[in-house]
Formats: sequence, C-alpha cells, structure tokens
Amino acid sequence: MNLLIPQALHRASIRTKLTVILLAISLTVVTIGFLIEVGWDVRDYRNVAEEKSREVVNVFAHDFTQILLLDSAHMAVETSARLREFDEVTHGYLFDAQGDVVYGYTREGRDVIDVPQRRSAAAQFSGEYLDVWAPVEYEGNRFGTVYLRFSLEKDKRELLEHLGVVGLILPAVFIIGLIMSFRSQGLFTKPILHLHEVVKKVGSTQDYSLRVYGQEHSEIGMLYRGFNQMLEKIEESNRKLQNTKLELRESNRQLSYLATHDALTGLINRAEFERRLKRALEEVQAGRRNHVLLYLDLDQFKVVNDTCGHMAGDELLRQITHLIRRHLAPDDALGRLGAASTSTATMRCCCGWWTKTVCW
Amino acid sequence: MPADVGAAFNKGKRLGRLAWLATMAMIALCSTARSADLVLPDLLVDTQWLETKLGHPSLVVVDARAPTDYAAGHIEGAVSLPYTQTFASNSDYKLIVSLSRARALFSTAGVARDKVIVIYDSGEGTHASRVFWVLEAYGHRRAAILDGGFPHWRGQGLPHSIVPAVPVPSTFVPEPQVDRLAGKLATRLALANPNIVLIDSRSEDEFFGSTSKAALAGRIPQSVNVPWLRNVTRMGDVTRYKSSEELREVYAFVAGRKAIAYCNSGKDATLAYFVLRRLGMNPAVYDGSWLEWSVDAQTPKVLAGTIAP
Repeated sequence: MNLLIPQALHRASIRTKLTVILLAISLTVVTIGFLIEVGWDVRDYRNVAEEKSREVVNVFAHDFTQILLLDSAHMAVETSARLREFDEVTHGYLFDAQGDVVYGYTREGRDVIDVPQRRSAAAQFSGEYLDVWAPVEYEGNRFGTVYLRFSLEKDKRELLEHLGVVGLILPAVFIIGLIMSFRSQGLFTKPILHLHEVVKKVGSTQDYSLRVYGQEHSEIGMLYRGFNQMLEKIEESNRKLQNTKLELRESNRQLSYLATHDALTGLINRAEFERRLKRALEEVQAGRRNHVLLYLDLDQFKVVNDTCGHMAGDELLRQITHLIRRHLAPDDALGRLGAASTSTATMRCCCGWWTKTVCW
Repeated sequence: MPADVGAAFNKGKRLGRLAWLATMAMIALCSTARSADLVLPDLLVDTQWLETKLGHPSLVVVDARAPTDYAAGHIEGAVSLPYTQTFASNSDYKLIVSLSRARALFSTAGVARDKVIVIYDSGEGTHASRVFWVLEAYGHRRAAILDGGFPHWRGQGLPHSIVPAVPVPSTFVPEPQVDRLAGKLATRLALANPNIVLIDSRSEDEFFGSTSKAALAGRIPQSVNVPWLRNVTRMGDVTRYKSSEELREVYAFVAGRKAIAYCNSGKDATLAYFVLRRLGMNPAVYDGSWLEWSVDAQTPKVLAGTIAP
C-alpha cells in the first residue's frame, strides 16, 4: 500500500487523500470496463462478420450449384444481380470440381482482384476484408468451391462509432466519478473535520463547555460521545478547582482580616495600626501628606468591667467605636491598641489627611 | 561545428529533394509507360491507330468472321474467333454462349483482363459488335471495334496475312454483367419500368409484322424500331458507322434511360448496343430476342394481326 501511494499523498489532508483514492478506484474500474468492452466488441464484430458471411454463402448455395451444374450465363447474371443486393460482398469466384474458375463477380466501383489461391482456412480476416471459402454441396455431393470477399468497412465503421460513443461517455463517467468521490469523501471527512475543529478550539480557548454535535451512529459517533464525556469531566473538575480556589481566597481574606483586626470592635489591631502608622509617617516624611494622630484612652474602664461585667464593658467599647466611626472618612484608620487581658481600652485614632473633630 | 552541421543538413535536404525528384520522375515514367501500355482512344478505333499498335504485347486482334474468311486473309497477328461461336450450342433461341464455353473460347484466343481486344469483321458491323457485346457481357472491360473492318484495312494496303496466328492462351474469368445481358425476365420487367426503353433492331417489315424469321410475326410492346442498318453507311463493300452526331439524333428518344436492344437472335441488336455504348449510354442486349419471346405464350406481344394498317 505504501508503494502504491505516492509520498506527496502521505502529507495531504484526509480530504485530499480520500478524494484521490476514491477517484483512482473509480477511474480504474471505468478503464477496466472500457477495455473489456473494447475486447468484447472486437471479438463480437469478428464473430458477427463471420456469421453474416456464412449466412450469405448459405443463401447463395443454391445459386452456385445451379451455375456449376447448368452453366448458364443468365443464371449467373441473376446471381450477380442478387449478390449486388449485398453491399458487403465485393468479390466472388466460383470454382468447379477441377478447381477452374467458372464464374466471377466484382462489385460495381471495385477494382478487379486476381483469382485467389485456395486456402485451407474457411474464413480469413485480411485488413478491411473477410475472405470466405466454402464448398458448394448438394446432399453430400460436392460440385465445387466458392470464394466470397466481404468488405468490413461498414462493420468497422459501426465498431468505431460504437467505441467512439463509449469513449465519449468515459469522460462523463469520470466527471461523475469525480463529483461523487468528492461528495462521498465528505461523508467521512466532515465529522472528522468537525471533531478536529472542536479540538482545536478547545485547545486555543480552554473553553471546556464546547461540545461536538452530530447525529453520528458509527464509530465516529462513539468518538464524539467519548470526546464529549471527556470534556464534561474536564469541565467538572475545572469547576471544582475554581470553587476550591474561591473558598481558599475567602478564607485567606478572613485570615488576614482576623490577623489585622480586633475581634471585639472590628477595629484594626495594634500590629495593623502600627503598620499603617509607619506608612503614614513615611508619607509625612516624604512630604506628600499630612496626617493627624488622635489618641483616646478610657479611664476607669476596669470599673465598668468589674461592676457591670465584661459583657457590658465589651458593649461599651462597641458603642464608642460606633460613635467615633460615624465621624470618620472611610479611609481614616481607627484602631484598638489596648489588650483585652488588661481590660484597659486604649483607642488610637489615626486620622486622614485633615484634622477631624471627634466629639466624644 | 554549427557550419558543418548546417552543411550536412543542407546536403541531406538536397539529397532528399533529389530522391523526391527521382521518385516523381519514375512515377511519371511509369504512368507514361502505362499509357504507352495501350489506352483505347475510343470504342471505335481507326486503322491508323491499330497499325501503329500491331505487335503490342497487350493487344489481341480478334477476327470475328467465319474461319474460311480468316483463312483467306486476315490482319497480321489476328486470332480467329468467329462470331458464330458466341451462341450457345444447345439453345433453340441462340442464347449467349455458356459460362464454361465462353471461358474456353476466350482463354484459347488469349483474352485476359489486362489485354486490349480489337475486333473486326467483314464490314457488316454486326459480327464484330456481337463479339464485342459477348466480351462485355462476360465482364471484359477493354474491347474496341476496328472501323471499317477488314475490307477497309486491306483497301488501305495495311499488313495482312494468310498464316494463322498462334494465340497465347490465357485464363479468362467470366464475370457476367447484369447491366449488359438482359434475359426474358429482365425484358418483361422493363415493360413495366418507364426508365427502361426497348429498342427493336430488326427491319421495319419485321417490326410491323409483314415478315418474320420466327413462327409469329410481331414485336414486343412499347419497343421502338431502329433497324440496325440505320447505324451504318455502306460505301461499296465497306460499312462505316455514322457519325456520333447523327447517331445521337437517331437515339435521341432514349434520353438518358437504360436501353434493352433486341432483334431476332441477338446479333443485329448488338450493333445498337455498341453504338449506345459509344454514345456513353447504358445499353443491354436481350439475347433471346424475338425468337425466344414469340414462342412464350405468357409474354405480351403486338402481333401482326392487331397492327393498325
């Protein structure tokens, strides 16, 4: 198979490959058919010519016997007149038992031919002619031999006409073959090309929601379903991965929030406050901005805790936070520096670029 | 190098041209040789033409007269083929000689396809024309008649001899010609065919039935009478054919149709046949003629009794 297919075809697309192969097959079949037809026709033409010549000889058997036995010029003339009706008979010679020519016939418009030498073959094709030899017999008695020459021009012309028509049909069949092979290759390549298209798209866009569509029940259909299932699985794991990512991000955010904020008041904790303070100071030193720092301290807070309980102390802290926050801009930082264990609520307000009046 | 090649090429071209010229010259020579080989100028040849061609290997001069006339003197080299031999021996109606007899007769006389046959008689015309017709009826294509016959030849002091010529035997193949030999059936069919005209070559008396060589006096219906003597002019013992213009007028009624000529036995009618052949028409001879036609009860006839006065 590798030997049969040229190298260039190996690199060709599946569509080209299929078209060329189908075309080659149809061309081969048509050519073989044509050759068989030619062979058959030629054989047939010879058989028909021979058969026809035999028939003519049989038709004239009685005439030839009469000429040989009755030796009459008038009978010979009548035979010639009847032979004239057969266009294909161009020449004829009648030999008596001794082998002497007793009668000759030359069709009008034909050149006279020499008296032929007797041959053993009953029928012989020579170029445009068929030469036939036959005994002139009656009820087993042989009276002589007849030679008739048949022109094959008409038969040959008919044969050539016939082959010409077949030859004309051949290109038409070839064109039909071309169209059909092109169309039929589509039957196979279209689903494969569609699959190929989708694979390419998935590869370039990473869009796993794409699917192969088609009413294929063959192996290609199974391929489609398999590919779609694979895509579904990929899509699902991808979705899970995304979810996990989101969850991770959320917990990260929460973790960082917890790390930088005070759990009770929701204010930024000391570490965060100091980080921001440091940044603010850097900005001030660079002369880019002015910052204001307010420091608040709750005196006797321990008393609240001790007398009213920690719950009340916590509530107090929350309400104070709420009060202060109402007067701050969103980018002002308000932090709680006091440690919960000392029960001393120390608040520091690191305000934005403008001094704010904080009513307390 | 290219100059050499060019020279060689030119030389080749010159050689080719020479070869071509030589071929053409040979073809020309061959064709002149063939034309010198003997081409009949006419179906009627004159004595001068024949004199120059005497002894030609393709020429066979045929003496159609009786053997006694031949023995008394004939054209030098002529073979004897008496016209009486061209009738079938076994026929009551003097039909044409049989196939095998014709083959023997003509083969002995040396008649073959490639030979030109010139026939002469004593000047009657009909004897030579009978042999001419039989030859053509049997398929020979190159035959002619000597104008004036032997009396004219001898009268001009042309070479003649009493020594019988020894013919070179040949193989004559009889090819009976449908268009030249008409039988009773063909003649009967001609009556119904407006494209065929019947010519009665007998005398006027025979045509009108006042006399007859057959048992019945009369003629074939629709036939036109042209007595054979109307084809020729007699000057002393020399009979000469009339000029083509005159003859064309005589046979004007044929008007391009096929003609079948008959007489009593198929001899005199051959004169009409020969004349019509010369005029380029398409004649045939009904060899059975009135002898055969008149005895057949089935054939239509115009009999003497019914002829209008």
